[in-house]
Amino acid sequence: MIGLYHFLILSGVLFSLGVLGVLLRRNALVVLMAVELMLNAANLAVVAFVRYPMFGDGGIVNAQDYAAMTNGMTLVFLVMTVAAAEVGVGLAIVINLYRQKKSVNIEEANALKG
Amino acid sequence: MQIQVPEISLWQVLPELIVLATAVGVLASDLFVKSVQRVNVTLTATLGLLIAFFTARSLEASATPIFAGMVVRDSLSILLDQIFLAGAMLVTWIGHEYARRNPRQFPEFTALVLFATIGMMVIAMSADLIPLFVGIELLSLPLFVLAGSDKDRLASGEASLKYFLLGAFSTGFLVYGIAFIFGVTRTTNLTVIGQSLAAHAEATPLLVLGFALLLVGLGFKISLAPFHMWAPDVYQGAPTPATAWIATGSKIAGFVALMRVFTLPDVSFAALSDYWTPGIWWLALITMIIGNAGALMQSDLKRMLAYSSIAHGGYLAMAFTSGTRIGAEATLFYMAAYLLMTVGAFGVAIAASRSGQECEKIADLSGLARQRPWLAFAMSIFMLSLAGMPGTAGFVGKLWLFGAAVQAQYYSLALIGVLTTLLSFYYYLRVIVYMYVHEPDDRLLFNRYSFSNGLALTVCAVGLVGLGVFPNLLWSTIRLCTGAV
Amino acid sequence: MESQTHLLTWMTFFPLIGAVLVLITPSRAKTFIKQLAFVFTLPSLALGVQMLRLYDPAAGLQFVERVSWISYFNIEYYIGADGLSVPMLFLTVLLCPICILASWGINDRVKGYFALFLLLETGMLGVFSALDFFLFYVFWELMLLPMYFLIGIWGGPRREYAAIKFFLYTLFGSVFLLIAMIVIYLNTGGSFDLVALREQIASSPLGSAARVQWWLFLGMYVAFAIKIPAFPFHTWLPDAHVEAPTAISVILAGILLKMGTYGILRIAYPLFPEMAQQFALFIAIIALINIVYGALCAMAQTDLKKLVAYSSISHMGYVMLGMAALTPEGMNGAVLQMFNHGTITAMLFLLVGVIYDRAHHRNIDGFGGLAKNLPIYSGFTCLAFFASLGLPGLSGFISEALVFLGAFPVFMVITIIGLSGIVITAAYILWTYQRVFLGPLNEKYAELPDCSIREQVMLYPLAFIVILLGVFPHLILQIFQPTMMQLIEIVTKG
Repeated sequence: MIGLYHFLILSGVLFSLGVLGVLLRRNALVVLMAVELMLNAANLAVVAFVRYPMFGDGGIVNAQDYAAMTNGMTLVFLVMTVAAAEVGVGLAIVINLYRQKKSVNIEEANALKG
Repeated sequence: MQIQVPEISLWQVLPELIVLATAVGVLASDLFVKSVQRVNVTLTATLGLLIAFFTARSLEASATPIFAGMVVRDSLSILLDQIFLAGAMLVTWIGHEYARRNPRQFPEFTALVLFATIGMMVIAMSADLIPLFVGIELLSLPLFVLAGSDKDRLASGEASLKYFLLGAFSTGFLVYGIAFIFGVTRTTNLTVIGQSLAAHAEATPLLVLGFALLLVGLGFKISLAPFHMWAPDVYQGAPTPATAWIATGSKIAGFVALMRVFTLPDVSFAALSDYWTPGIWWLALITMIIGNAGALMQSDLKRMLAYSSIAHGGYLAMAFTSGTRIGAEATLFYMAAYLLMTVGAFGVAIAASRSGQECEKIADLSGLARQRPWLAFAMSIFMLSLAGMPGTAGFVGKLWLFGAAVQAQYYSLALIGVLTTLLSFYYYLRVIVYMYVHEPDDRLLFNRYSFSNGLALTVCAVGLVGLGVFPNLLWSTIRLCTGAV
Repeated sequence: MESQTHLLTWMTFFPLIGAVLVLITPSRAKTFIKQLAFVFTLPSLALGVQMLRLYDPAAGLQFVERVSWISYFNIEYYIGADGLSVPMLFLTVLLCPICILASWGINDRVKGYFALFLLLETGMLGVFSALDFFLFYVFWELMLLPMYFLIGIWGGPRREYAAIKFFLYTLFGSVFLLIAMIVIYLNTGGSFDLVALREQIASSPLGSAARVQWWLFLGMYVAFAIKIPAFPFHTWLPDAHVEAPTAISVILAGILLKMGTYGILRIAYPLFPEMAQQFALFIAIIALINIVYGALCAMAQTDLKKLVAYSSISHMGYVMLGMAALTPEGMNGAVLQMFNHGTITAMLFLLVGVIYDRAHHRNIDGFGGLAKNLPIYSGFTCLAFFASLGLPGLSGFISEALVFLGAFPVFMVITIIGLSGIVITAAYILWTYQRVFLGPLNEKYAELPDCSIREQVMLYPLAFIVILLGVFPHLILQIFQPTMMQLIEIVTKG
């Protein structure tokens, strides 16, 4: 049966992919996507925690579970909103850089060194 | 099932709302007024911030959370609100001067500073991981834009890209950490987390992972080594007033977040301090060493200040590690002092421009003392305070920080702190040497600086000396805060 | 005994008022700034004389003022004067107006110079009157800053190097002081009260922790030894002296060096009496090195100012030797030597400055036969030189004799070797005098004018004191003798 840990493993894989993407990819847009991957990995984990609580008998049965659910879902929605806002700002920044350098390769952003 | 509408007490968040209204008003003015006068924008912002400041002062502190346990209006949040509002005012003033030379960024600049301030204030009053996270984003997004607001300068665009990518990256860690903490404790409310952890203080692997991720996420925000590498680039590339607000407001807010999450007694993770203390201990140690060593080698003023700001993050983290009441008090006091001296230093960097040429290298300050004696004098106060010279708030604050570390028996940490402080005198004094000892190169005269900038610098300088000689002025308030929480 | 007159506070902060007034004066009014600065050192001098008159040697601590300052940390504005601080305070208020006169030739950034100078005076007076450890530390550091600028901005060609060296050395030392202060504070339940600390330490866990005490004493010793400057921390001194303007050299040698020995006597000895005894031999050996090595170095110099600088190192060795002996003669001799060295070295540096202003160099071999044309100048120099080498009848003799008398029974071998220092001193001083003033006149300097009125006004009071204390040493001995006896009792009992 599929349970909490399956979801956590999936979320872990997504998160790692995101981290690796940020660290390894050179295209600013891909890096942006990798960041989204990290945020959504977190969302997946939260949803899984709501659906399959670590303690108790599972499912949403009492008022406490209900409170946890609303709490978790609020978090998920806010993370989604924030992710959207972040993409908005991020794209603007990438476009601004593209205007100047005609490139979205972050390796080429090397004017600042010390 | 019944949906309960939580109590909405807008009155309690009035300062935030006032700042919001001011920010929106400033932003909208560009739409409705044909040519916006710089002075009017700055005056509006100042007025809004002043009203918010006094509203915050007049609020009554209460330890009971409001908005369904999301935020709390305790004396700590009220004090921090005042610190942030005062800081925003100073940054607006020094930005006013900058805007005269770069008029294209006005009035968005002021509006963005105000938006970021709201994020800081939200962090200051969060009693739950959700507003904490939202506050951090509210603070970060405007700052990403601010860093890139000098659209024609390549360095500014790059700075904002770097800042954005690393900021978003750290947000990923932060949220992932929150997810695990939520998973284990089934809540995001800090008080409830604290109670349940205190009841059975058992660190499951998932919980420890949650902490660690949260710490990494916040570590990026406050640029603790080894998560600091973005700071020098961003500080150097961003427009100077933006740098000032990134270096102060954002960093202070990051520490406030750490404080809310980790140390406040009876709340959240204080019960598990055995697990996170060694982590922060090492971070503080590395940060102090890297920050000071890095600053030693810089010839660029803003880069030097960036490393110095990293180093000060290390000092704050050191007191923070102690997890004691005196540590919390020291952190708060130092935050206020740090705000004044750093904003002041960047303010001088803005004011000390020559026609058509910003002050970038430390050597660009050569001969400032002869042409602009007051600027040089104020800068000396800021540098000495950063270094920790008696008679300035920096000294009192540092003494307190080290005292907290010693009291918690972190002798080696305190010793490293003292030794690196000693080291820091060298590079802070170098700035003073350039201003006073080196002769000015006669190429260009320094610009005149505007009234608002002079006012900001005067406030900073007087504040630092005032707090240095009479620290009681602030301590009584601070003790109230830590006594209350 | 609470003072109602706030004599010490006024004395300390009058120059600060002057500094503020100087700062708000327009920088074009150069002469007015100089006059203003001079006038604002006079009230302190008058109060210093008044202090000497009022001071009752038998009554212990006097002119005490005590106000809570940073209540949270139990830090107080706690000042007062006893037999140890009175001579030092008087020396400071005496030298400061003289130094302002000596700075009359400063014409670059006049405002900054005199404001910093007055700030420096406040810092120095604060150090000598503070009875709260924290307050002491604040003044101690506060003084560092104007000194740094005064050397770094108005100094000679290598001023930057000299200033930063001075600054970093002293700062390095004061960190140890700071650490010691914090450890003591935390172990005594939060006290900075230098008067009460001795008993508080004895009854605290520190009182029985000899190892910790050993380290704390060492830390304090390093902090103060840098200031003295004791071997091997002395290397900043020649650099600083050579680069500093004349008046600043006077302050440096006349007052700042005394702060090192003052700190040991005021803080290190009474707080850790057992350690004072344990370290006595060590300090005596360092003192011996200072005496002999300083004198030998002085002999090798060709720069007149460097020679005086090294002679200071040598003379501060006498102070340390007297202190280490812990006998009544030794201790009283040490304090007397502190005062006498202050006046004699001040004279020497002023005299070097006078000739430098005229000839624009300080090379000993570059002069010759000056006595012919400059009778007044040669007279003063002769007096200062002889006082410096310890000629009977002048003040230096009494203090050196007391020091050796006091040290002899305790460190016989060291004292005997140390006596050779006197011989070397006599040798290099006489040799220098001969090269500069005697022999055939260097024609280049045939037209040099003699001391001006201003310069004579600077030198006469010092010369008077040097002779007066040579003949009637008890005038000043009686002030600090009871205090020193008390200190010896504390240390030898402990």
